[in-house]
Amino acid sequence: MDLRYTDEQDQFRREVRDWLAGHVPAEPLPSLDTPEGFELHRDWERTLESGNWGMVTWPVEYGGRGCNLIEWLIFEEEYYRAGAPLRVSQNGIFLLGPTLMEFGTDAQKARFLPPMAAGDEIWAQAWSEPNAGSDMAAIRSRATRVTENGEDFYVLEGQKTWSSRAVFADWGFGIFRTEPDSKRHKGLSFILFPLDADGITIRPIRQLDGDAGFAEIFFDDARVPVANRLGDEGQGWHIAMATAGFERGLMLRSPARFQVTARRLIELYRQNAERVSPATGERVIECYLDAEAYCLNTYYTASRLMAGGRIGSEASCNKIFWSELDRRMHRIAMSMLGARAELTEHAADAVDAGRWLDGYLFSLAGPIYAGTNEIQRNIIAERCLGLPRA
Amino acid sequence: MDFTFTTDELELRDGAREYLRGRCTPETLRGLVESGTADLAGWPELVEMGFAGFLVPDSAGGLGMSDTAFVLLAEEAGYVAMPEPLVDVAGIAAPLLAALDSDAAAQIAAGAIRVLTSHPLNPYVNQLGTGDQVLRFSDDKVELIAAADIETTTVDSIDPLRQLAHIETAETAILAEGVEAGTLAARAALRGALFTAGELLGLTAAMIDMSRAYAVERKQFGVAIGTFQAVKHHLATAFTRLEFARPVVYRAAATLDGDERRARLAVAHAKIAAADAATGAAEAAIQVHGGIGYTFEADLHLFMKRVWALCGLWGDRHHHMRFVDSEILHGHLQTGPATTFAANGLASGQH
Repeated sequence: MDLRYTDEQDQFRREVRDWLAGHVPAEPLPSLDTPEGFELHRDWERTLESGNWGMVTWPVEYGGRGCNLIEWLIFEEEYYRAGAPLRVSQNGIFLLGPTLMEFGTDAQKARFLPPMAAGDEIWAQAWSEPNAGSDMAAIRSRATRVTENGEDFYVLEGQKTWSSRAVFADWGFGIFRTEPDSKRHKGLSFILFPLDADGITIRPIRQLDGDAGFAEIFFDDARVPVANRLGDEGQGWHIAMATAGFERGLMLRSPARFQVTARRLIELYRQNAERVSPATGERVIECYLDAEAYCLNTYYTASRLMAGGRIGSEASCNKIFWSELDRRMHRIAMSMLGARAELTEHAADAVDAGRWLDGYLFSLAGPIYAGTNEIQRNIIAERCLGLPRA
Repeated sequence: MDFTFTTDELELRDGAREYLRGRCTPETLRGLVESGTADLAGWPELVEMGFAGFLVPDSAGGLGMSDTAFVLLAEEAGYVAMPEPLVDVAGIAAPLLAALDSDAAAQIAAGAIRVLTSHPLNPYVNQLGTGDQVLRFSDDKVELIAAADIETTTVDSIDPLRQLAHIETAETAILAEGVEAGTLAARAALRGALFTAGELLGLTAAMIDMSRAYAVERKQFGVAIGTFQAVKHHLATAFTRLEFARPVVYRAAATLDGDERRARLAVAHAKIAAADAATGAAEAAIQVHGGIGYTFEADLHLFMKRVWALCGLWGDRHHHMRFVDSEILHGHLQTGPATTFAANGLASGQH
């Protein structure tokens, strides 16, 4: 055990830090859930790509830097430290990209990876349906194979919901039932579809903050070529699980993000120390310590993975830990803001530009998305502790 | 950056695990409780295993192992709620005496003597037996007290396997005075808190495992209570806390010899995280056990009681929180991304 960075790792950090110092926009970009903000975030993806900093974890052969997990953590630390914009390409970088590399044909990789890396095609994910939320295997959207004029198509029918980025994105991916009357995890296929295709209708959903961060997607006789299927027919569930697999789960929320929030919380506490209740300081410290623990746990896990270790269902602990920490940090911050807590970023007197309020709203989604924390606790109890299924 | 244990360390851990789980079973512990003596005749066996001289250098007849490896050993000792004062003798006294070039370190490794501790943070001596010596720390001196010179009064603990004594009078040999004594006392407290945190991790894992076993076996409404989500979630939460406390404790072990304030902060975090995980797991465990958990009939009480005792040793939550507070809220230590391992690299001075 040696918890010092190597010279190469220090050098890599310096390189990231220097590049970001010269490129990160001076002013925060508008929300990526607005038309203007979305395009500005797309531009930022293009800037990142111009320095080859867009897809650091992708293998060199796909235009990435082939960074290992420790280098990725260093990159993320510098990224958050520099206050760089949110990644509008997150679905592509961490979810679809690696899945394409694993399951895609050469033609699919050549078609989809370069524009994904360049920010030219932004991806939305389409898993949940109105009656398939936590119970994802209950999905009913269909993809029926038809042949017309010698060409094979899937006809997509049904509805997806809570689809992040779908309002402004270019493409979507999700799983559909390709085998009629199949049940649960069987008979599903993983399909890529352009969001502007005929027969696809996007209905933005207004989120708690008023923006349209996600949407419903309606499929009514929408046709996509069979070549848009990733992997074999019927293999969709398996691929979806790989997409949601551990390393990607690890990358969903990097520790630096919460360390920034913890630091801001400490600053907020210092500004209000004279007027807040005596217990507040300890609650702030607990958040700081938990953000550190999340960082330590991630390095610990990354080291073990790099040494050839395997991580199983205990990964579900991650999601529980960061999402509940994030909610707690924002709740404590809100409690210190008094009458200014309700002010939105547009209000002149808003503290930290309404960022705490915005963050609090978003933190409430954390324990819900990417598998609710109830589902995560079931997974831990059943797969790590061996408790019986109901 | 390599946050993994060596193969040697893990093999040693596995060996200790196999031995301790075979030797120190809940039946053994119950026997000790019933006899009311906590007869600890097993110490020579622990010496034989190399545990007593675990941190004593090879040259003095010890194993010369690392602090990180000792944390793993403490974890295993905690898992079986081992009553012997392993942390006191092998984790604190032995390496400290070795650093002072005292012959006592070699004698500990050889099993000739045991040296226990008394410290302003925890003045009661645990498991003081015939022939044992005591290393007594105070603000301005460190003394070694020979067994024959000690007059004690016993002090009852809720943990039946902790036998506490208060030292009344004693003839002492002074090992260090003044500033040096203060440094040694601080050093002992650091190790004590770290290794106690290790024991707490083991106790936490044990309580989760025994609750899991109970939830599979115990039936109500015609099914195992472990099928109920409410029961599952208690244990999943305890498991999550444990998963996130472990690397905190391991980091503290790995940086114990580094920058002093950083080491102190890491140990404070370790003790707080392990104690919180253990306290939470104890409450989840008794809830999952139901009525039987509130009795001497289940083994759980021995583990919970050890947890409550250890939470207060080598600095309670308040003690460690106050230090974190002084550094983080009222100090100038940098926080945020790229500062976690800062004392060790580039990220330090730059901000």
